[in-house]
Parts: sequence; structure tokens; C-alpha cells
Amino acid sequence: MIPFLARRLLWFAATLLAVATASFFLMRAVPGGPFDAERRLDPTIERNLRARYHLEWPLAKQYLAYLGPLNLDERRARVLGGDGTRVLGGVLAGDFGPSLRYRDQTVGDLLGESLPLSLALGALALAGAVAAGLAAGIVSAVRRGGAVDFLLRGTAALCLALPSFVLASLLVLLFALLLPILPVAGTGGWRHLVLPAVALGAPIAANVARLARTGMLETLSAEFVRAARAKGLPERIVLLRHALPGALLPVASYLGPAAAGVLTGSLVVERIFAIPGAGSHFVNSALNRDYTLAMGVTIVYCALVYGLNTAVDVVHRLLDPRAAEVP
Amino acid sequence: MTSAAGRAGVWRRLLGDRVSRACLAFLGVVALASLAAPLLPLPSPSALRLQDEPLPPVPPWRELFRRGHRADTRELAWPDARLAGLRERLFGDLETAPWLGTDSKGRDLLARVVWGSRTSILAALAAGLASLAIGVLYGAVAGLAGARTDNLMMRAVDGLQSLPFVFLVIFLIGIVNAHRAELASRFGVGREAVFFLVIGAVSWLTMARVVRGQVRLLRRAPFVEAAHVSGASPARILFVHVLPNVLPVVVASLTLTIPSVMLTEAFLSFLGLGVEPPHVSWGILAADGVEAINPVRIAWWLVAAPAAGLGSVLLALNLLGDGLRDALDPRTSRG
Amino acid sequence: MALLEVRGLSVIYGSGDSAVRAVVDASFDVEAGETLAVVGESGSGKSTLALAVLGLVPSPGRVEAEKLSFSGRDLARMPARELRALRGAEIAAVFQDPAASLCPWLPVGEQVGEVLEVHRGASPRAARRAAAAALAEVGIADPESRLDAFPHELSGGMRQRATIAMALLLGPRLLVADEPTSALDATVQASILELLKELRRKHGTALLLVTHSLGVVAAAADRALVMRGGRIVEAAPVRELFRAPRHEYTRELLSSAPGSGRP
Repeated sequence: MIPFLARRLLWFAATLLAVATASFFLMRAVPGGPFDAERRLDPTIERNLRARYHLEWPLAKQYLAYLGPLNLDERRARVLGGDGTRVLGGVLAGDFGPSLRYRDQTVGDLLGESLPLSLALGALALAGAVAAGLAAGIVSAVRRGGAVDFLLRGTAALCLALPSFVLASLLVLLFALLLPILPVAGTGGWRHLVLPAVALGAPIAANVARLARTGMLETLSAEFVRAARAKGLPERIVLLRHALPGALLPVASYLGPAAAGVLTGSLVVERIFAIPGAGSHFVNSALNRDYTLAMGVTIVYCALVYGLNTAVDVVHRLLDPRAAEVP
Repeated sequence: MTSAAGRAGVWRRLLGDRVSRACLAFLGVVALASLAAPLLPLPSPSALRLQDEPLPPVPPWRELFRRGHRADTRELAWPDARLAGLRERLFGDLETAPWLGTDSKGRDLLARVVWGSRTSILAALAAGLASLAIGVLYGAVAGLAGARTDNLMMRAVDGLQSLPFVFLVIFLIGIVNAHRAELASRFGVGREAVFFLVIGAVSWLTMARVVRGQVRLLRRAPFVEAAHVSGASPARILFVHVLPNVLPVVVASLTLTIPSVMLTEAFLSFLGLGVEPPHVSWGILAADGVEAINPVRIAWWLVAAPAAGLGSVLLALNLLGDGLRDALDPRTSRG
Repeated sequence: MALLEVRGLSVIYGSGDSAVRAVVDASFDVEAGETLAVVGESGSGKSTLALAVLGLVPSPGRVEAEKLSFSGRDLARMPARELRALRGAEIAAVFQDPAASLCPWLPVGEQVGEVLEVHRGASPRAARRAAAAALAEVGIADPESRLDAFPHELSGGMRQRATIAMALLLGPRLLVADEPTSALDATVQASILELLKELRRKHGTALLLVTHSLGVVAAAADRALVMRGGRIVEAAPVRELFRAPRHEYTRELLSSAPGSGRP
């Protein structure tokens, strides 16, 4: 387990480094970007930029400063020693710089107030989706061919065909106009998160249901299930102890892409339901050319997805003892 | 191993399945309507009218056609322009009544849905071409290469795939967006073309991985060994023996990529990061629809139309994809 | 009264004209303590017969029998709960591929001891102890260390020994073994057969042994049924069967076996 995690960590660091580097050079290379000398910028922002990024320094030093090992403090640059107050700065310390749009706030500030909301929403959506999907898939498998199976599969197909923003829009229509029982906008309590979580989680639930159903059906027809029945075990134990992990495994593998899906889905869902999460900030940053914010969110979200994927892999190895063989 | 007879068998199986037949027919109609959009007697998708509110749908049995067609204000590419000219001559100033209603600016929704399908199809084409051009080649090279090169190439793909793509795309677009005009004039491509290029640039990864897997398998196949032993050049082995047998997985991969890309395009356009007015996209329609929701005037048709369009096309594509995958692998039995 | 009495047993898939009968009108007895082999080529219905006795014929198939009784109790009309109580405790099974018969994600010790917990209400600790003892009895060295191992960590022979331990833990009176050695190497096969013989001797278990190999029949069985196309074509004590086969098919089988021509 340890060498596996260590390798993952290394890979993760390398990937993030690549993303940060690419972003850095892209931003400075694109004509008309915020660092383009010819561009006219709001003087406050320009001052901020100059102070932080020392645009007159050679590119390499700027890059290192941005990443962190070089602590540019006032007019002096020290490597990894700082001035005694900060050893590491820049991205490595979680400092993404000032927002180009919201003048007084740093990217860190903005993320700090919006990320927890997005995470809460995402976690709620994911948990709900996995629970609902598992239940649906298992019931579908056990009652294969029946009316319940048909109904569940039909609903799943529908959830998969409709994009999350369409589903969200339809939900808004439904609950805003016909059944005003759940709030459709803003924040203010967990009730406000219900509809967005449903919209976010529906396609995930549909996929989980499909995977669980197939996994369960395959497992139920396996010989060891027959052998378990031959031992006279009650059906409950056969289903839950012997067969269920077979359905959980494909679902566990899917959790990584599912989490990524929830993150991307949150971009539209947050907008439709007017939730001030990190996703909204990200979209706005792309529209407003707020590059530092955009990059900050990208890096944070990439880190999240990567971390989740690794966690999922760990769970997978724990669930299926056979998986331990594969590095 | 695929052969002419084998491929004919695939077609037969595909067309034999009722669901797949229906999906093919439906998608064919959509594609045809999309292609012939300038020719159809539809109102202009971008002509604005003076009105305050979106008009509700007028069912075709109540009113079929109207007069007073105003031509498109946009500049069309020459094939479309010719079709538009043909339309003038055929239908004069006749146009369909607003069977799907209009939006608050008086633009006919049916026309916008039809024209919007073009954007979705373009995105699908961009992704398909990129997948075929880049993905297949990259995957084939990795599959045939030595272990170290293959490892490196696939790690790169892994790394790129492990990132949530939409973020990178949005980030790229965000940077590129503001300067599309400049980039466009510098490289001579249209503004939308840049958007589709970005889409293509991110969609070839799955194809590369899938092709590489299949090529690695085929590499050890006896018939490839035989070809090698009988002196065929690597190029010949690649093109005559390996690639035709990679076809099934390529098709299967495309059936998964294309709906996903259409979704991404709609998604991005919805957020305002995709194509822009006066171009039409289902994503833009959905965004307009969502914006127009308020308790006073319930313009449900503004949301329903793009939802139906996207939903039905995606569903058809997914079902067709299932059918194709089943037809390609006769061993798979239906659930 | 024989331990297992079967009269007119048929297993049917489908219905009407397209019905397929995997087993047709089978009648036989298994006496307490004896080993009855069911031999035939693939498709002869022998495995289905075994499943029918266990009540585990997979769903589209139906079992019809005039009489199917175990120790005087009617298996065909028994409610599911009673059948479940019987299975594992009185009638046990060992299947062909031990790798497939063991649940990949449960440790071996748990799987072996499960029957004790379910049928006798034992505590997990007692079950674990019993499992270790059972593993030792089937000849697995250092059973304690194997209790927490997963099936894929054991060799083929050890896995089959474990499934035998699992089946015999509660001392069933009838063991149904469907090709118990076919998935194993030749050398391991012999040792497993030896194990079965010895356990039978010790516990007095009757054995319904399904096999396609005449060698297994000769080595392990008291009596044998020859099946073909779903029907029992001959039933006789093993020695008699080999010496003076009555049915033509039996003669074919014997003559086609390698090394036949020996008395």
C-alpha cells in the first residue's frame, strides 16, 4: 500500500506542476493577457500585479516566485530561506495571488468562502447518488425482468440522456412554478441544497444503478453463489455477504470519474440554482478574464479530483483482495 | 477478424435490431434537416421582432404557414447561401407558424432548434475527426512501439485524462476567448473554429487508449506474425492487417465520445463559453430558457424545446451506440 | 429404507414442443454410507441430476419427480426454509472448480465456518476453531495461518480440500460431489480421491459422485449409474459394471477409455 501511495503522490505532484507551469506560461504568452505590456489595466490591479509578480524580473525568476521556492520579498530574493517570516510562498503555500477582478481580494480569500459550499453540495450529491443508485441497481438485479426493473432502468436511461443543466432547468421549472415546496435559488440551509444535489447526482445515480445491476447479475450467476446456497445459507446472507461486494466493486471503480462529473456538473448547477460556490467563480473568471482566479480554481479542483481518485483506488484495493496484485 | 463478409454481417445485425433501426432513422432525419436548414421553409433563426414576451407554441393543426418571411441577417457560407437562394425561389415569403413558440425577442424556436443542431453536429465532427486523426495514430504507434515508449506515451495520456477536462477546456477557452479575434486573424481561422479546435484537442484521448490496447493485443496474433514472417513491411502490416481489425473498437469508442462531446459543447455554450450569438446552439437556447423562467410568465417552451432536442439526440446516440457495440460483438447477449 | 430415494425424476427446461429434458425419468437409491457414481459424457445430464437432488436447478428449469425423498422426508414438496436447513447440514455439496466455488472476497476460514454459525448458531470464535480443525482434518498444513487467507492465495489442491472441509463440517449424511477432481492436476486428483474415501470411512457419509472419468469410478465408487441423453441406461455394482457391462453404451464407454481392455 505504501509504495502505491508514494507513487501516486509523486505522479500527482508532477501533474500539478505541469498544470501550473502550463498555466503560467500560457497566461503570459497569450497576446492581450493581463501581463501584456500594451494592455490597459485598472491602476489598482496593475499596482497589485507589479508588486506581487515583479514583472520586470526575468521570466524564470517570476516562474519560481509564482510556484513558491523563491520568496520575492520587496526588493530582495532569497532562495528557500525567506526573511524569516515565510519560507515558502507562491502556489506551494496555497497563495495564488490577487484576483484580477475583485480588487481587494486574493484568490485564496475567494476560494475560502466559496469552496466549502461547493464541497458540501458535491458531497451531498455524490452520497445521495451512490446510495440511490446502489439500491436501485440491486433491487433491479434481484427482481430482474419485472415491472420494477423496467421502471428503474427506464428512469436511469432518461437521467443519462438528459444533460445535468437540462435536468436542473426542468427541476427549476417544476419546483418554481408547479410545486413550490423546495427553494430553487440561493443559500440558507440544507433545503436549498436538495434540488441542486438531485440535479447533480441524477446522472451519477443512473450510472451507479447500471453498474450495480450488471455487477449484481454477474455475481448472482457465479458459481460461488450457487455453492453458498448449497450450504443452506439464508438468501439474505447470500445476497449481502457473498454477492454484494461483486456489485460494489464496479461502482467503487466508477467513483473517481463520478466525482469528476460532480465537479464539472457543479459549474452549471451552481449557476442555475444561484449558489455562490467555487464553480460559479470559476465560470465567471473565465468570462471575466480573471486568470489568477481561474488558475487557482483549476489547480484546486484538479487536486481534489486526483485526491478522490486515489482514495477510490485505496478503497478498491481494500474491497477486493485480488486487486492488491496490480500496482 | 473482420472481412467484407464480416462487416456485412455487422450491418445486418445492426439493422435487424428494431431499436437501432429507429435510432438510425431518427438521427438520419435530424442530420438531413440540419444540413438542409437554409432550404427549409423556416423563419429566420436570428431575425428579431419587436415584442415584449415570448409567444407560446402554435400547434401546426391550428396554423401551418404564415407570410412575411424575412431573410437571415447573417452572412452565410456559399453552400448555405445557395440553399437560401433556392428557398427564396421555392417558398417565397412563406414560413412556418411558430409551432414551438418564440423567445422574448421574437425569434422562432423551431428554427433555432434546427439551426442549433448544426452546432452540435459540428462539435461531434470535430471530436470525431480529431479522435480518428490523432487518437488512432497515437494509439497505433504506442501499441506497436517498444515497452518504454509505449509506457511513456500512455502515461502522458493517463496524466491528461486524470484531470477534470472541462476545467482545462474552460481555462483554455477563457484565455483564448478574449483574444479569439486576434488569433483568428493571425491564423486565418474563424472564431468558432478555434472553439471547435479546442474541443477536438481534448477528445482524442479515449480513442488513443482504446486503439493502443487493441493494437497490443493484435500484435501477438498469429496472422500478424505470419505476415511479419512472410516479409511484409511494418507499414503494410499496420495498414493492411492491424488497422482494419482495430475498426470495431474505434467505432465503439466513437459511439461513446460523440454524445459526450455534444454534451460538452452544449454545456460550454450554456455557460457562455462556447459559440456566441448570432450563432445558435442548444446550449445557448437552454441558457435563454433558464433565464426566462419567472413566476409571472411561464415560458416553458423555451426550456422544453432544447431539452427535447438534446435529450432525444443523446438518447438516440446512446441507444445506437449500444446497438452498434452489440452488433460488433456477436457474443454479447442483451440484458 | 435407503438414505436417498429417487423415482421418476425429470428436469425440464421450457415447455410444450420446445421443452428440453435434461434428465428423463431417473430412478435410483443411495444407501447410507455407500458411494454411488454417476458417470456419462458431457451433456448426459449427470450434473443436472446432482443439482436436482440438491434443489438447486437454475430458474428456467423445473424438477418433476414421483418420489424424491431423503431419509424419508419429501424433498420435492418441502418448503424452502426447511430445504435450506437441510442443505449444508444433512446434504452437502462439493463442486467442480474450487476457485469458482469460493467467494473471492471472504477469507477461507470464514467461509468454512459459516455453516456452523448459520445452522448451529455458533459464535464466530467457535466457528473459527471448528474451521481450523476441519482444515487440519483434510490435510491442510498449518491451518491456523490459512484461516485468514483469501481463496486466490491457496493452491488448487488446497482450495478443493478447503471446500471439502466446508462441506463436511457439520457431518452431513450425504455428500453430492460434481466432478470434484476434474479441475485439478492428475497427482492432486489422486490425493483428493483418497481424502474423500478416508473421510467417508471416518464419518460414514454417503457420496453421490458425478464424474466423466471411469478411472474415478473404479477408484472410488461402490455402485455406478451410467447416464446418456438424460436417461440412466445402466446401474450396477462397479465391479460387475466393468466385468460384464450389460448395456451397449456402457460397453462403448468402457472400450473407449484409455487403457481399457483390462478386466
